[in-house]
Amino acid sequence: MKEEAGDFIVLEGEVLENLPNTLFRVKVNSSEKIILCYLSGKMRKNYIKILPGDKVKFELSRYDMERGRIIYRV
Amino acid sequence: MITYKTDAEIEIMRVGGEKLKNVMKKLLPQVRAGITTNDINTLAVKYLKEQGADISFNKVEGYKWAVCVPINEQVVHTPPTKRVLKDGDVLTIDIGAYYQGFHTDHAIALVVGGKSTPEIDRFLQVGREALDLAIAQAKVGNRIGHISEAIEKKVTGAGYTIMKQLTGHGVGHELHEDPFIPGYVTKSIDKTMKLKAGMVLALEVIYSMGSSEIAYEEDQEWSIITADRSMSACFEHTVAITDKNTLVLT
Repeated sequence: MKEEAGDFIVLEGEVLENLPNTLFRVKVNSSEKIILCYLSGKMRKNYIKILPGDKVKFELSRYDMERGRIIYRV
Repeated sequence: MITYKTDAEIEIMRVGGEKLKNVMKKLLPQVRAGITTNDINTLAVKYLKEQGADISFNKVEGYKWAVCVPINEQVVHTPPTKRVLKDGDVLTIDIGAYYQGFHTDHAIALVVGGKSTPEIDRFLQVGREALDLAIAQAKVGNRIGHISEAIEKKVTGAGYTIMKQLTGHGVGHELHEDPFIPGYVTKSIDKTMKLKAGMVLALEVIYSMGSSEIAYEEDQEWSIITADRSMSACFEHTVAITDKNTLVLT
């Protein structure tokens, strides 16, 4: 399905763990919720390294609130 | 957190896995020198639709395609492009199906045009056998470590290398779920998770002829290569563990 800007929310959180398959476990700020995140293409291309403890911004799609995409390292 | 599937859910995934198996069966004979990896994607989309299944991989945020098509030193997550296949290319076709809310995941490596060398034949045969050995360990009473050990022993015993950062994984409503299943032993087997009925796992053998380390392909958003550009391949099946037996869904 085609997603538009209104289909995403942007949240901030802290990286808890680097997982295999280039995934990350991220704890949402002011919450106990933990989201499994991929890395956005831009961050991959620019070799931006993400480590546990890093504060990040990530997108959650309205259609899948269990998976996020890290778009920025704060 | 692991999700354990009910018998009814496993049955849905069995049907989805059967459809994915049929798609791969139709796809493999189409692979030949001169076609592009975009062509493979187009065919995969067509065959999935014919089977009544949806694309799985484009449910991953930012990934727009139905297949991953790494070639030679590319390891995983290589999107289809205008790249033209050549005789002798070692191509892995990794494809998923999404059916009634559940993903299944499957990968096969092959030599384009059948123009192989004894070395490459051996390399690929080891991967196939490692996956069979992994599946044989995937049963109630065993642990994740038994699967990892089986893959590692076979692959490194043959002189090849496990890609350490890439693993098998649970599969269900999400394409990648807990637990992660490394292709090598990371800690004492009895400290790894027990395998239980209701687990549905994508078992993967991801290995190379050289380095165990990965790198992102330059200027690419998704494609991962071996750090030393050595040859790589991947074999994968989705399996469901039940009390009675283990079903190979793909």
